[in-house]
Amino acid sequence: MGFLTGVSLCPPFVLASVRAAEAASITAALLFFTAFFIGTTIWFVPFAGLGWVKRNQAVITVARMAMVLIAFYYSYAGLMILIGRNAYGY
Amino acid sequence: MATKAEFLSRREPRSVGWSLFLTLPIALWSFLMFAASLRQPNRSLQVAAIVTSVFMIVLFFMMMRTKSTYRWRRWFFVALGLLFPVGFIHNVIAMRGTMGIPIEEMIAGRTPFCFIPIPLLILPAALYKTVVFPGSILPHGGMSGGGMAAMVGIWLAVTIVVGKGWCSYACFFGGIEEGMAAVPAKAKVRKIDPRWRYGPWAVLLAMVLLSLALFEPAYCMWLCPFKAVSEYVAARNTVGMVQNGIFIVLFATLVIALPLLTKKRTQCSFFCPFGAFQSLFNKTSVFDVKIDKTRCTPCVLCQKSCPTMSLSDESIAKGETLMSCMKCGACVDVCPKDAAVWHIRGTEVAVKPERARLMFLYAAWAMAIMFGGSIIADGLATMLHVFV
Repeated sequence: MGFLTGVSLCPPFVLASVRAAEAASITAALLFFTAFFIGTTIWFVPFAGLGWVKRNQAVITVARMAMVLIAFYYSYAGLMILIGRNAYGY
Repeated sequence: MATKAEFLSRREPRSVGWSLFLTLPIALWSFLMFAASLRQPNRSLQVAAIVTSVFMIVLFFMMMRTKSTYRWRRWFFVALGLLFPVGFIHNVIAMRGTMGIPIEEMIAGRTPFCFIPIPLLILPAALYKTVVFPGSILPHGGMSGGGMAAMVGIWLAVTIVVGKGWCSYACFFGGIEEGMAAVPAKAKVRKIDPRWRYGPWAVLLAMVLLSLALFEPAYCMWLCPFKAVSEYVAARNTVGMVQNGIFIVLFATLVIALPLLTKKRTQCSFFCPFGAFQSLFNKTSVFDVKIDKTRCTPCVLCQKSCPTMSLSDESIAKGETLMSCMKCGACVDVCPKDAAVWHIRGTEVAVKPERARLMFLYAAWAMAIMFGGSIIADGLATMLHVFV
């Protein structure tokens, strides 16, 4: 499921590709993609500073421990889905 | 090496008259808090209120007289931890006939409100304007957003003043493990990997994210050890039994077995997500504990005595406790050089530390009487009602 999620295309990107393909010229298509790139990049600006947390060993340890807990829950929830139940067994 | 008791006995006691004078405001507060119970027709409630009031006043007096905090606070805290389940279980059985809460009751919002899921409520409330805790502070249940907001407001007001002192003077769960930690004379397990101190933060992060994703207080549903002694899931299928199994195993391990082996408050130190959240408020509280570097040898007695591993070699060298300090006073009481001191932010370290201790204790003990005192009285009244 993780692999399938990884290879699935981003819907806005697919939409933009179709739009670019329909453009009258290469220049128009490139211009469109440049605008698309700038427009979507803005949403990632708040995450630009998050790299610093990787320098903090405490944050890494906490994240790893939390990851184990969350992984336990979703493994369990996935198994329950496979047997046709929700997380509470109903 | 001198023992802890020998160090304590070296501290010159305050005079009885002066100790009584310092206890007077707390005595008045205590009478005020329990006055309503004295007007109740129920005799058990009246007796329990008087006993609890006297108990709290005597403990405070002893703190004033001996100038030590930890051992007297521990009497209160263990009583709170042991008597909370007594009153609580009696109430839920009287209301519902069982300790198990069925899903319909939860949907109807009849789960009694608990402070532990407070950090789990914030993101869903901020993003979706919804309180994901299916509970109430009203005696007969029913969702009460206003009531819950008032409860959260009181907690916030208190916690801004005492910071993580909440975990040593108000939490009705920590007393059980503190009592367990007090049982053995010496710890059987002494070496604990310091990375376990990050455990509460990891549980907090995981539970906050899961609560937002699942739209439910995930900690209460899957990980709370204290469900074992308060209100378990009414098991109607295998999953319900597994949930209760998790609660019981966590309680037996973190609250009973590990405190007996380590003499530490292991659930609070390595697991409780509310404790991690509460640590943030140690930054807003004006009270903290400092190490006076000019007096510190360092003998690390403070580090060994800390029940929550809130002192490390590095923090002692810096002259401070870690963020997780619960202000129980163990390190201050045990320090042979009086280097571990109570402190008010913005003032010089070790200048009138006893005054800082007094100011903290007035705030913390007033809170202890208000929250813990009423719970102790309720537990006592239940015992009197049932057994006498």
